Amino acid sequence: MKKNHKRILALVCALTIVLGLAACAKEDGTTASGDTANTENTTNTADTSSSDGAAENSESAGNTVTLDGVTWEFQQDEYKLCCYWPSPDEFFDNYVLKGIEGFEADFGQEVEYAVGTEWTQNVENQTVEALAAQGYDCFMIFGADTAGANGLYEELYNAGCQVINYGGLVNDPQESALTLASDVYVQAYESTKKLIEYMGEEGTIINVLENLGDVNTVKRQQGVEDAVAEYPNVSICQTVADIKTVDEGYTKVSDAITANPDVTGIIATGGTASKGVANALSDYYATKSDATHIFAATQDQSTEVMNGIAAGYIDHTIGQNGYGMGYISNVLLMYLKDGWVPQNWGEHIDTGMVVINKDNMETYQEEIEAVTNEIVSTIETDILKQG
Amino acid sequence: MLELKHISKYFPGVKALQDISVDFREGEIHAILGENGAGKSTLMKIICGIYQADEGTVVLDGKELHLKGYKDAINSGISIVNQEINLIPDASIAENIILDKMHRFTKAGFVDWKGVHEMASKYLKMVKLDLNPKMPVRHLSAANKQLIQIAKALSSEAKVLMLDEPTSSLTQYEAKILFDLVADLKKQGVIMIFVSHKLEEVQAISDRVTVFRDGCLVGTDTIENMPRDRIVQMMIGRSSSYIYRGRLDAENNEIALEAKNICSKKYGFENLSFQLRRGELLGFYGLVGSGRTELIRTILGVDKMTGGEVYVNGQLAKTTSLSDSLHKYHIGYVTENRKEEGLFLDYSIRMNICMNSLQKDYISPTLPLISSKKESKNAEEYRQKLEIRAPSIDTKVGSLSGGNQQKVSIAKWLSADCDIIIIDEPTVGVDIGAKEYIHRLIWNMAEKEKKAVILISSDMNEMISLARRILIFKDRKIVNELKGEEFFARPGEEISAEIGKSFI
Amino acid sequence: MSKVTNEARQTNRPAGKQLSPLKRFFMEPYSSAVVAIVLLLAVFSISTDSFLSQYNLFNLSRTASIYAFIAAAQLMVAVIGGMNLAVGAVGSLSTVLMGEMMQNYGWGTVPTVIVTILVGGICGVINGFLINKLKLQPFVITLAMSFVYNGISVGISHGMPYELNEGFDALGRQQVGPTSMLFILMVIMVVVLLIFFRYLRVGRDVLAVGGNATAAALSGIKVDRVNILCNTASCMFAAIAALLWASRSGSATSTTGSDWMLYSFAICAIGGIRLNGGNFTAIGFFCGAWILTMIRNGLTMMNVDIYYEQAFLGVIILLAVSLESLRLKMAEQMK
Repeated sequence: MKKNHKRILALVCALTIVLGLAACAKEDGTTASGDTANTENTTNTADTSSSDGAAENSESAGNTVTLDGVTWEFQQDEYKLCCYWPSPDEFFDNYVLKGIEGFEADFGQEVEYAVGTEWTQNVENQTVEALAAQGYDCFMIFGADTAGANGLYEELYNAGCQVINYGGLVNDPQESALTLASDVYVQAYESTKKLIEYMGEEGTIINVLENLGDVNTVKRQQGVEDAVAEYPNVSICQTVADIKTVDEGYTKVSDAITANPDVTGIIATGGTASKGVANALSDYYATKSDATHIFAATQDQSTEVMNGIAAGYIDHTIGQNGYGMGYISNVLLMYLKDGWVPQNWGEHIDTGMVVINKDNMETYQEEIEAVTNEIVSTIETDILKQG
Repeated sequence: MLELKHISKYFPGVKALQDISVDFREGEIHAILGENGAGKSTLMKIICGIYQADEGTVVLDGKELHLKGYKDAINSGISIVNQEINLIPDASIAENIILDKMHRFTKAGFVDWKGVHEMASKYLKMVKLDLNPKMPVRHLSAANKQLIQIAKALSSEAKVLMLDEPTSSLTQYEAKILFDLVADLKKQGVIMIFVSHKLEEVQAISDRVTVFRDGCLVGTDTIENMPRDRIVQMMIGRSSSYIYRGRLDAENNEIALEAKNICSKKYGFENLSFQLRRGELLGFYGLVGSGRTELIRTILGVDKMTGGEVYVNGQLAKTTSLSDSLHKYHIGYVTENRKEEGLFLDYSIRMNICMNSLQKDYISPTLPLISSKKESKNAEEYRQKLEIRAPSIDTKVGSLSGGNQQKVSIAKWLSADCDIIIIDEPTVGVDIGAKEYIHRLIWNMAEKEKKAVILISSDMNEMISLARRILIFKDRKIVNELKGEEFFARPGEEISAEIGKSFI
Repeated sequence: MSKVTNEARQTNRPAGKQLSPLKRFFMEPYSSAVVAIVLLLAVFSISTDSFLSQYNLFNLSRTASIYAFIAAAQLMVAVIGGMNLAVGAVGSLSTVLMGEMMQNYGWGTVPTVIVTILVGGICGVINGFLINKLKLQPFVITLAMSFVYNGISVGISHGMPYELNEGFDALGRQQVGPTSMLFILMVIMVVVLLIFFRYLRVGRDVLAVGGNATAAALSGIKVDRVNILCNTASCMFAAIAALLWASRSGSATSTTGSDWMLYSFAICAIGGIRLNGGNFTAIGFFCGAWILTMIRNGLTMMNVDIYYEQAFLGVIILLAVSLESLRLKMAEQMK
């Protein structure tokens, strides 16, 4: 009797695994074949319902796209575009993906995207290699590890693929054609200067950093410290770091605020740490009856941060141009595939930033799209050259 | 020649060995026999230096030995091959054989593998194994592993080789291979000491036999003068210090437990039946592995019953687990391995005694919270009643002596108010004083409290002074039943002779 | 509060000879944890101004309380000699489900809390069932299940944070006298555990299985059932910890719980709870949560060099636990 039970259980387990794998394989299969016209339900392909207008423009010989009176000509009908983001995150969902969708609507191309399960280079390599094996050859990738990503890029080039690194810088010498990212130093510097303005150019600041092993963190720290150095009456009273999760950020920032009762400002220059700051401040004002306002500047437009701006306990946040990263990268990849080459290999193209506060929190998207369009209009003149 | 001269060994309250003198000769296979607790393993441990004798000396080739540990024994040429296989499964045969001599093959930290393999091959040849010394041990059969253990012993130039139940994990065919080797080694003049429970094996290969009982040497003789009957008689002994406790007169009481046609595939017995009455003390007598403990485990649902029925108080009982046996049918089982299976050594006496009777200690029947006061009272009561010697009921059971541990494990079931109590080897490793006390306890359970008691034991004295009906187990069958109050009123010598006959 | 064990009083001392109260205290396995707390308290309050401030103590008590719930999740399985590597994953799943129910289904706070804890329980039943039926190490089963739970959590949320119900954060932010509501919950939880292990039969069954599973089975205890019970309780504690954490931080994201697994082991170990089963000391457990929280808080308070912070953390934990080995040596000498 008992043996039978065990057998049934084992069978059920085995069946579940087989069916699960079959289901996954099926989904991947449809996307890989590019046969998306009749499939409504391709999980990983961004929404393409609005691509009709662009589709009309495509002709059999080559591919012409007309946008706002400007005509673009591409050599191929179809580009195997693919985007990778290392781990589920709302920045990707809300901004980068929006940019990809905007690109799909404007250019009539499909972009496959994959999101990793874990923010590690190992998972990134495995996923991207699998996608490359499925035939994708134009990649936009957020390098999970600033050192390790170069190895993956090199490998992809050797396999005949085009790669654009986006989101954050990787170590030099970098192996992707171009990097589309914010200039973290400039952002940290500008954000700090604005914060110091609110503070009346005097007081003390808590500087909240993230993972110390990341080149971006070092640049951000530099940006904050350089800005503070310009004001004699402002100093950094404490730096907290080594924050890998929101909860860690929350605890450490709470502790730091308690340790410095007279602090006047707080700055976070990383997205995860910013969420922690938002949670810590919301908790601080809710639990400390005699709390005085601490000026706070953060990074990115996460829900926690935007709630904080709406509620008034965060004064501004630096919006990165995620939309632009998603949009521009793909246009560039199409050019690269057509044989264009970068004017400067591995150049860092600053996708710009926008300061979001209570006044423009509803309308900043327009500013971002304007910045994006400006960069797109300079592709042929400033970024690429005919190869 | 290895001589033991007047060896005695005492453990707190127990004489484990008493004035043992025996010699083991070159080119001789000397079997040591005895029931559990007879003193065999203590003797082995003294020979290989794990224990030191309290009195007497061990003399090897005319030289007195003072061994401080097993390492000393190996250096003196004494090796032991255990029933459990002590090899490193993922290391190669050669590494296993050479392990303790690796330093001899190491130069500047580098191992001379060629030398290691050559030496290993030499000893493999000696045990007649045609195997690649580079092969990992993991994949070998149990018999080959035993042979490699022997090769390992030989490689340390063993003059004395002790085999402690070497065949317990082997098939008959594999055992044959082992015995061929043993016969071969005999020719090479190795002293071999062979401990086994299997009489057939002993008769087949040994030259001389020594029988132990209760820490004493009962007799040594050549195998020709030791027919099977005589060996068994010596092992089970004659009861000399037998105390007659009186009558129980339970023949007409109602039946508390009845087993009908019990079968077990695992243990290989079929259609075993017995009845147990209230106020009766039923004995299960037989050698280790004869089926007595196995039958009980099957009835209680510890192991699977493949056929048969169990009735408790006349009702068909589904004893599929010990939990049911205890809580539904009030059957208690005092196990034979009290340390591994009966007690919680890290816990206090209080926790152990109250483990099965917590509902008795509730604050009230409606409030099922354990009252510390009642729990302490309960534990304290049994501590005093059973004279458990310990500073307090909060003493860890692991720090008690064997006898007191056994009292705790009996107290646990007494406290649980079981109607039927099965006690397996209650006095193995228990000192004399505690032994008598435990006997009185068991007797009172049946006589005064009218509980139905099954006593499983291989101690003849214990059996005939307590049981008033005895089932004799042999080769997983019940071969005889001895009953009648008059029978047990006869002198101990006669009863034990009668029991001995059942084995012939 | 006294302790519930077994390991309790040392046995080798002769009956009747009374030890002084101080010596008897040193004989207890939790005494080193108490000493560690006192030492840490002294060091941090001398070297920083605000460590003993009212607001910091309030914050400390809240963090320690949540850590205690996380550790309780590990304790429930450690006590039977098992382990639960899915503590964090269940916490993450619970957080996401809670957010989903509140934000996307508009459930009220009370039903959400109940369902979340129940879902935690179901995760535990699944873990326990698989451990029983597949007869594999809890390590393997809970490791595999942790991926499953984490995957579901990320799958449902896509990494997005959830809006919590109005007023849900009251629990996590409520101040009660000098301490917090969470601290009171922690005390209640420790008392409940104490009653469970000391006064309830099922608690004794659990300790029995942890002490000697074979003997427990031969004493008529259903070991499989105890295993399921402990795993269920373990995951329920993880779910409760997730609720409390969300209530305290005021947001719910799937990243909650990513660092819980190691902390849960660490707190149990620091509190003197053997990870191979069979013992539970309420005071030790209570202290374990406080020690870890105090060290992490104190390091930020002392404003140590951020680049070496982890090294300091490690060294202080090491010093705190080495008190136990010192205690054992002293106890040995006293005998």
